[in-house]
Amino acid sequence: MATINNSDLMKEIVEDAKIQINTDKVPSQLAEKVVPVMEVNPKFFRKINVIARATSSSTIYTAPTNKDFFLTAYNMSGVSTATGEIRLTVTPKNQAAIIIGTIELGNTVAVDISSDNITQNFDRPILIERGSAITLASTGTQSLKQATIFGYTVEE
Amino acid sequence: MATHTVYKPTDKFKQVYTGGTLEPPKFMPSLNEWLRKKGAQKIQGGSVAVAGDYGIYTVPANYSLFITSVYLDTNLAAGVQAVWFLASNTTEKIIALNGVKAVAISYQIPILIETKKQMVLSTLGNGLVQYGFTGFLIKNSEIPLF
Repeated sequence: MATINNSDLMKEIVEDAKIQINTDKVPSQLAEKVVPVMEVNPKFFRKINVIARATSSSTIYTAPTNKDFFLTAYNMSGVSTATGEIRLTVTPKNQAAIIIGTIELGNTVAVDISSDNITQNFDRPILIERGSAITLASTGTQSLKQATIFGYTVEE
Repeated sequence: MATHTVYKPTDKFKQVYTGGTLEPPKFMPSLNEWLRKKGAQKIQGGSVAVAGDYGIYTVPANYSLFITSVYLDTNLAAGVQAVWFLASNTTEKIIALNGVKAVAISYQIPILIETKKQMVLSTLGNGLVQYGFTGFLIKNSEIPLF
């Protein structure tokens, strides 16, 4: 039997297992056989590992070339005094940009739209082609603008 | 102590191992897995600038479109601004905008647009209307009887 020499692990065993150290002996040895524990289906346990933001017309995030990237949500907002628009686009290789979302700003007819925002959660995440750039694009002039994206990468 | 059979298998248990190879269990795929495996992802965005009815997308022959999200935005001034519906059914709106703030909807249960059906964006004023949707195009032959 191998002896455990990691005091942090010993402390964790006592706390997590709620061992009564007054009456019980704290395990200090590893069993002879190591039993691996595996996730049955890791696809069920996705979590956001990419959050990226841009505050000017520029590339927000470039999808990796060696793994899949899924876009799960974005938020986009802007302030403007002239007609224009803010767009979130993705540009697959050798293709024209695809519009994911757009907001219109600054029409002189309706002054209350000098600022606007949009938030969209994708219950069915969007698969972005590998190596593609997700971009904040705009026309007109905005005093403030931003776009934030959320997503996750998949190793396989 | 009473003895009752509370559980009885309907057939004999199958061998898990056949010739030393593990038989993978057959799971029913989630809706998301099914859409992604059987369908082609569809993303479209665009704009219209003048009042009128615009056919923005027609589902191709032999395919159905499962819409998973839509958005609409405009810089129009007042009144009913933009309405999105099916050409074949103008009463049930997919999404409508009655102001100037952007609106976005993500559908946990997708909207099914049938073969050759056309989606129409109708605007009632001269101003830019931005629209977009995401979804999956799936061959009709791949769609089970729900």
